[in-house]
This record gives sequence, structure tokens and C-alpha cells, in this order.
Amino acid sequence: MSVLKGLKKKKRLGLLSTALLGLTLFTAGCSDDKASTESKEGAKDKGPFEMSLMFNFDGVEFPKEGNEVEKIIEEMTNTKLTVNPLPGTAFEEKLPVMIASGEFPDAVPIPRRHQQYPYVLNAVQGGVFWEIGPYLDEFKNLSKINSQIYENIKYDGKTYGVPRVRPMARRVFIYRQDWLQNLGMEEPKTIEEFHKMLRAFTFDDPDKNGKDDTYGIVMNQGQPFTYYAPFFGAPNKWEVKKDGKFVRDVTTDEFLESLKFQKQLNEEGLMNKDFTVIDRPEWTAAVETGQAGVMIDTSNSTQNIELGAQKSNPNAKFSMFSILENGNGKRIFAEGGHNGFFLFPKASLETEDELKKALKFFDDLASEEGSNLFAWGIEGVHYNVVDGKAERIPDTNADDVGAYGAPLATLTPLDNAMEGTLTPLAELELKLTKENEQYMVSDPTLALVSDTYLEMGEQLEVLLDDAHVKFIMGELDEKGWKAAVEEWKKRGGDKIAKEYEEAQKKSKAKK
Amino acid sequence: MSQVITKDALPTESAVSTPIVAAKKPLAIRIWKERWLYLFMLPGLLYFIIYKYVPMWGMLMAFKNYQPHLGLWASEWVGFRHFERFFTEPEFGMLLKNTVIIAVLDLVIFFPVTIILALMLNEIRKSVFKRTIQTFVYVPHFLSWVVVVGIFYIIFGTEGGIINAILEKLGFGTIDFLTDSEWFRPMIVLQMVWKDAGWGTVIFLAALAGVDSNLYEAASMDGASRWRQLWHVTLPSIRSVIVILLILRLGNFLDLGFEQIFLMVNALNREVGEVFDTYVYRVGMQQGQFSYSAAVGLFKSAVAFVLVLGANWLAKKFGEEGVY
Amino acid sequence: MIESRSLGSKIFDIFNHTFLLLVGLIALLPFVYIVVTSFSATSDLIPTKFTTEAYQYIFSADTFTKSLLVSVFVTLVGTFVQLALSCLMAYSLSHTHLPGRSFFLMMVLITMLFSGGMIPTYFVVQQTGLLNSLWALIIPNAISAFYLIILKNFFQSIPGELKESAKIDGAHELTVLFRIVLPLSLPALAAFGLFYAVGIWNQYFNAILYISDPALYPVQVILRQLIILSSGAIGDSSSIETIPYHGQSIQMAVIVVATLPIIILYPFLQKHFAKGVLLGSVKG
Repeated sequence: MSVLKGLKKKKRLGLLSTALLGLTLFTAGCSDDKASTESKEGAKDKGPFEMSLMFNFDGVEFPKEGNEVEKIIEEMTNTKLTVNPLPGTAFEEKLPVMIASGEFPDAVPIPRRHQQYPYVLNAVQGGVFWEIGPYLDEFKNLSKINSQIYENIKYDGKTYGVPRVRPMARRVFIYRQDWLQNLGMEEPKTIEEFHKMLRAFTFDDPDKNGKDDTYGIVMNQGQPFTYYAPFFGAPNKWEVKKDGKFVRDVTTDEFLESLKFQKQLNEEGLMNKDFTVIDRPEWTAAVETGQAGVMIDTSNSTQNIELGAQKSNPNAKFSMFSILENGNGKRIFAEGGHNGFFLFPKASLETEDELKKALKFFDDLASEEGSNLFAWGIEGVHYNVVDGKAERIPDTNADDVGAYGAPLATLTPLDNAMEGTLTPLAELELKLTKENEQYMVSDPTLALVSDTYLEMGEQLEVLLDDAHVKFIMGELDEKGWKAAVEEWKKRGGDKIAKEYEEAQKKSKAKK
Repeated sequence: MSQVITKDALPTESAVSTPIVAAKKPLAIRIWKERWLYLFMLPGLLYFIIYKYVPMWGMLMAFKNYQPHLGLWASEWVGFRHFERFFTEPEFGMLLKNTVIIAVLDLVIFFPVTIILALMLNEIRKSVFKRTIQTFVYVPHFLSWVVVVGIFYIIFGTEGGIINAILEKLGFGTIDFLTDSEWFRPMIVLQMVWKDAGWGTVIFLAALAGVDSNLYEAASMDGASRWRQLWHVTLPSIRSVIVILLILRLGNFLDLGFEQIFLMVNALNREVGEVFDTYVYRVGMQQGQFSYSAAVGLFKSAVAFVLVLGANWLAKKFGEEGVY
Repeated sequence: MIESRSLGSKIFDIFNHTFLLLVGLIALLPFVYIVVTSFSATSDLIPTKFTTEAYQYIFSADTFTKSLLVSVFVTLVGTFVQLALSCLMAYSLSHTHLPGRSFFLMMVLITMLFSGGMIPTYFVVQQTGLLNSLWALIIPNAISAFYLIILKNFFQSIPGELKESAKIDGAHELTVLFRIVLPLSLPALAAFGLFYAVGIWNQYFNAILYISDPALYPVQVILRQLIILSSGAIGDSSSIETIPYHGQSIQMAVIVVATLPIIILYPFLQKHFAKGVLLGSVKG
């Protein structure tokens, strides 16, 4: 008996001490973190402004705390940064919960896709975020941002967000220039020429290896579908008729034409059949490994694609174009001109003064100094100034700069940065996106709210997307497609059109 | 009360060994007598109350138009609006059908496969071989769904997939395993079996480890064949585990491997592939339609609750312990 | 065992061995493929060049090693906490005569079926001060109702006479639990320990939700970061503007490193699955 009791006591002690050990280890692990959040109170007025940020980061390792770039940014903006980088998908999943729970960083980046999601809209309408419109004039660089882009991210006609600016029409066809040369062909200007090019890429052995191992274009599910529509004269998602009525692209004959073209590509074997199931790594790999000759992506990807392809084939050369005519003049699919935007929560920026400090942070980053950093890197490390122009130092890796630049730059860095020598592809990118501005076909509903869309939008889009894929794959004929469009109308499409019309009227009346 | 009834109905060894006097003493004394047991339960109970029961106020969201910045109480009551929307959604029938079919496949294919695999492993006498195979079959469980689905994409894809390459060599032509809606369910079941069947044997093997080997000796002395030993010794000894697992599985009846299905669904197989969980993720969670998601969740819980109660009742009817 | 095996029995053995060997290979092959690819310099199906570049690359980043340590630590402590709490509660609930037992079991069962959802749970985690600490990866899932119920069942299957005789000898409940019930349930404890450990090791979403200091991320978060590679998730390739495409070998190496520690755990526990444990101790 007594032996047993003694044993028991020992065991209990053992248990307890293990538990205690765990506890101390844990508290040790998180103690310095607590300290840093508490010290925010003290440092509010004097010294650097404590700025906490959260954004997506999809690289291998986010630069360590206290890295060179962070130091430069902190000094430039007179802030003390706390950064919480999250993988892209995780970031998107956390955002709704974060906003619901009220645990905010000082600036909340809203991904472009989330602009019209109910959780964002509800929070904005519920007054969770500062309306920044009235303050913008005080910030020289932020007010330099294209006002159209501010228009595109308004809620109820008011400005809440600072956009991360991107070119508005930046979708391009990235293609193998060396293949085109091998075939003795010119860059296509029309749909017909494009079709010929894809045929040649597929059947005429463009890589001259004597094997039938290439095809025209690698497609993936998503944006590239709608990208074709304006070439055929269809609107970009919605079009406002003269009488103020809203018409959706899928209801037009022109859109059907663009569908038929894509179906033709599929039937003739000019594109990959597995486009519904592949993701970015696979479709970029198809181009980089020399299977496919063309892909659709944003204009800034070309450089990376070329670098990737040259790893296995040093002769691979890429170029890009973005407009294909088809008897409708030059038309190009355009987007909102941003990759998401920052909102400023009242919960973490309690006073107007704090809001202004947060805005100033972004304004400073968009200054010449900040723009130089994001555009060229660190002087002396990534670039040298020669005759007042930035010249990149070859073989330097500016990943650390990019880790901050991509998520934090608002105004396009090149707008405010010093001039410098760009690579030919970067030059071409600038030229194309600039040219495209005159031919843009925009979606007029970007800043309009439709309650039906809020509730049902996701389901309805899937209905159309699925029909779209099935049509291209030949699982749905013209009748079937029209039936799907009818269903879309019946289930809410018509209502959404009406609601956009109303919303448009209201916002016009306000002005 | 219920105790008394079960004891009358089931005079099993545990009932016999329980001091009968205890049942007759007043409740307070019986409770005091077992104070240590209650004390043991305390941390667990606290955990369940704090982290499981306190958040349950969230279920009220299903009847409100929950707006986080207003808080739950200030949000507007909408009664059954979200439920009405869900039940009248044109997709509802399809979702219910798809979910139930996959769940049933899970029960009638996956579940028995784990038992059979466990029994087969149990029949192996050479422990080195047994251990090696066991370790092998557990491995896939440790890969996340993203990786497993990725592997299936590589193997079953139409462009360069090994299986299709072989089929083509043999003159069968290629099969669109990943997009053909006919193949969706077989692929899902195949993935479940490949990933988790080996893992599922752990619990049965643990139960089998507890079987009294005297029973086998006695049986084979009586000249019972291995088949008969399996039937009369092995199976009965894991029966109660099987029953409990089955009942508990019903509790997850409508929760399918969300991630797996989400990764496998695409435009061409959505009619057979979309289930409650993937639907609610896309339509509700992802966009922050909190109330709608909560309503669908509550519906699923209610169904599961009915299923579990029913199964438990049935189990008790057949003389099993059941869950509670 | 008495060795009087019939022909049928032998045929069955041959079939059984062959079949299981096949099953084992099918289960293992993809993982072998992953391991091989992680050491391969090219992305061809059949690797030609051996290289450890991928491993050097991932371990060159401090984050990865650190996250592995976090995972190991959380898994060890978490498994211990879960096992301890579950055993205590399951042991109590295995007493069929315990007043209120049905009620408590029902209470446990309900938590399996009904849940308040992500946001309310988040608030509780916030209110109990666990946000941004490693406890957030342990406490909010400290007991699995599912395993608790099964564990209770295992305890219940231990012959009642053993416990009773000990109690008649005047042994305390704690003694009965630690000296009789737990040793007799070793196979089950090994199995549940494994379940818990794997569950904690694979935790991902809780880490994303509750932890905002990257230094406290477990390895699964880093794994996702590397293998899901944004996949256009944010809907714009700008996030990839600066990011090199991670070669397949690196993705595979990450999978190997993130999976191996927990796979290795199994053989250590396996000896407890040996037959006749219960019987042996009852006799002894």
C-alpha cells in the first residue's frame, strides 16, 4: 500500500514538473512578442510610428526581421514595422475571419478578387474602415495615382482604399519568338493570323527537332477565356447601352463567336485538352519546357518565363503582343488597374492623426526615394547611378526588395523613380501597356454594387464558367450554351443587370 | 434511470462486477464516492465547455444576418431565411445526392476495406514482414491532400500521365480520368483508399492486439479452421470497436474530405462532384457569407445528430454498448 | 500456435502475403518517387543525375529549420497533453456505474456533431489569451471527442475484476488508472498517441488563423507556402513577380522533410502493437 502511494506521488510530481516545463518554454516563446505589441502605446506620439502590416508572400523565405530593406524602409518612412507575411491562399482564408474578429493590422490589403465580396462590403458599409478620400490631397504621391483607378475601387461613391497600381490592360500573349522566326512568320495582328500561327506551332515543327512534340497555346481555366471576347466585339463582362440598360457579355452573339473560336482551337488540337485541371506551375512549365508556343498572362511575366525556358534551352526567345483584330477595330480587355488595395481600419488607427501617419507611410514609399528602391533595388548593391540614370548591376538578386515592393508599392514605382536602362522585354511591356490604354474595353460595374450579385454572384459565375468550358470541350452545343445563359438570366442575371442600372443612376445623380 | 434499465437488459460481466449495493445508495453518496473520477474528468470537461460549448452561440448566426462589426446581438434576426434559400437553391438536390453517394461509398467500400486489410495483416505470423507492410501502408496517410491529389494528377493526367500512356500503348486510347464525370467517384474512392485505408487499420490492430491468445489456442484445439477462428474469435473481439467507429462515422456522414473533393472538382465533373462542403466553402465561407454558412452547417449537424442517435439506438437494440 | 496447417491454409498464406506485398508497394511507390525526385537534378520521370541541391536550398533558409523545431515541440507537448486529458476523462467515463455518465458522454458526443464555427471559436481563443502563442496549436483541440469515445471503449473492455480487486485492496483510483488500466491499454495508447501526434503535426489552418508571428509557424505552413506556390490564388501574377519558380525537386524535398519525422515515429510505437500484451500482463 504505502509503496504504491509513494510511487503515485512521484509520478504526480513528474507530471506536474513536465507540465510546468512546457509552460515556461511556451511563455518564453511568446513573451517578446507581447512586449512589442504593448510598447505601441508608449511610442505613439514620439519617435517612429509603429506600423503593423499583413500581406501575402509566396516566396521561400521572407527576409529576416531587421533586414537591410526593412531598415531602409523604416528610416525612409520614420516607422517601426511589424510584418506578418502569409502564403497567398492562407492569407485569403484568414482575411474574412480577421475582419470579423476585429484583430487588425494598420493597413489591410484587400485582394482584387475580394473587392465585391460580402464580408468586405459589409465591413466598409458598417464603418469599419476610414474613408480616406478627404485626406488624399495632403499626400502628393498618393494623389498622383490615376483617378480612374480610385474610381474603380470606390464603395458607394466614396474612396476608402489606396490601390496597388498595375497597368489597366496588361494581359498579353507571350510567345516563342524563335519559333516564329524558324517558321519565317510575322507577329500576328489579327485573329486569322493568330490562328495560322497556332497551326504552324502545332504542325510545322517550329522547334526544328524533327518531332511532332509541340502545340499552339496552353490554356488554363480563368481569365484567358474572357480575354478573347473583346476581339470579337463582345463587351468586357458588362456593357452599358445608350438607354442605360446593362448587357452581359454572354448574352451577345459576339461572345458566342469568341467561344466558337476557342472551340475550334480545341477541336484542331492547337491547345491543351487538360486546361480545366491544370494550375499555374503546369501551364508555365508547358511553355518553359518548349511544348506550347503561346500562353496568356500579365505583361510582367514574360521576362521570368524567358529566364525559366532558357535554363533548359538557351536559345529560347520570347516576345509578346496583346491586341488581335477581327474586323472590330482595336479592342483590349482591361481590368481595374490594381492588384488589390489597402483599407485602413478604425480599430487599429484610432485617431485621424494615426490614419494620416499610415497614409504617409504609403506616400513616402511612393516618393522618389521609395520608388527608386522598389524599381531598382538598393543603390550600390543592385544598381549604380551613371549619368543620373540607374544601371542594374548584373547578377544581383533583389528578391528581398521584391518581397516588400510587390505588396507595398501603390503608385507604380517607375512613375516616380529615376530613369534607367530597362531590358528589352521590360521596355516592350511599358510600350504595350501604354499603347493599350487607348483601346481599353472596361467593365463598367467595377465600383457598382448589386445585392443579388453579392448573394448569388459566385454561383452564377460558376454556372457560366462551367458552360463555357463544356462548350469548348464539345460537351455542350450552341443550344445548350444558350440554355445555360437563359438559366443564368432567370436565376439572377436579369436582376443583377437591373440592379446595376439602378446603382449607375444613383451614382450619376450624386455627381 | 437509464443505467438501471441497461443493467437489467444486459447483465454483462461489468454489471456483475459492479457492487450492486452502490446503485441502491443515495445519489449524493454515490457521487461522493466517485469524487476522484469527477476530478479526473474536470480538465476535459472544462476544455469542452470553454472551447466547444461557449462558441456554440455562433449557431445563432444561422437565424440572423450576422454582421461582424455589429456583433451577434445587434445583427438582424431573419428567422429561417437562410435555410429557405439553401433548400430552394436549384443545386440543393444535386448537392444532397452527391454528398450522400460519396458518403455511402465511403461507408460501404472504404470502411470494410480497412477492416479486411487489418484482418489480413493480423493473419500474418512473421512479424518482420508484417511490420514492414504495416509501415508501408501507413505512409500515404502522412501526405497532405494537396500532395495526394497532385500525385494522382501526375499519374492519371491525359498529357503525359503514366496510366494513360500505358492504356494508349495497349491500344485502349486515353481516358479522361480527371475530367470525365463517370470517373469522378471511382477516383475519389481510390484516393481515399490509397491514402487512408492503411492508416484506418491502426485502431483495429490495436483492438486485435488485445485479443486473448488462449481463445485461439482453444479454438484450434477444437479443430476450428482459420476461417472459423476468424469468424468466431477475431471478429467478435473487434465487433464493439467496429460498431463504435461506424456510429461515430455517421456523425461525420456529411463531412466529406473537403480538401480532397475541392481539389478534384472542375467544370466538367461538377454535376457529380460538388458536395455540401465544397459548395458552402465557395459560396459562403470564402466570401464571408457567415450566416449562410452557419445555416448549412447547422443543417448538416442536425442530420448527423439524427443519424448518430438512430445508429446508437439500433446498436443498443442489438445488445451493443453504443456510444453513450 | 499449433502447427497443423491445411492446404487451404497454406494457399491462403501465400495469397495473403503476395497481396499485402503488392498493396504495400502500391502504397509506397509514390513516396519513393517523391524521394527520388527530390534528389534529382532534372525533372524527367526517370532521374538521371543525383543531387542534394534541393535539400541544401531549403535548409539554407532559416525559416524551414525553425518551423521544424516548432512542429516537433508542439507535437511532443500536444500529444502529451491530449493523451493525459483524454486518458483521465476516458477512464472516468469507462465506469458504467458513474452517476451522470450518460449525460457527460452525450455532452462529448454533441461537440462532435455541432460546432459554433470558426469565428466564435476564434473569439474564445482570443479571449483566453492564446492568440499568437504556441498554445493556440494545442489547447483549442486538446481533446478529440472521436478518439475519447473510442478510448473509453478500450478502457471498458478491460476486465472489471482486475479493477475491482485492486480497489478492494484499497488502491486509489489514480493507482488503478496508472498501474492497471494504462499498462493494459498500451497498444491502444500507442495507437492514440500516434493519432494525436499526426493530427497535431498536420495542423495547418489553426496556425494560419491564430498565429501571426512567422517565427512560430509550424512546418506545414511553410510546406504549403512552397508547394502551393500561389497558383494564381490572389488572381494576379504580381505576387510571383519576384519569386523564382520552385523546381519540382525542391517541392518534393520539402514534402520529404516535412513528412519524414512523423513517419519515423511509427516504428518506435509499433512494438506496442504486438499481440498478447493484455493477456501477458493479466497473467503476470
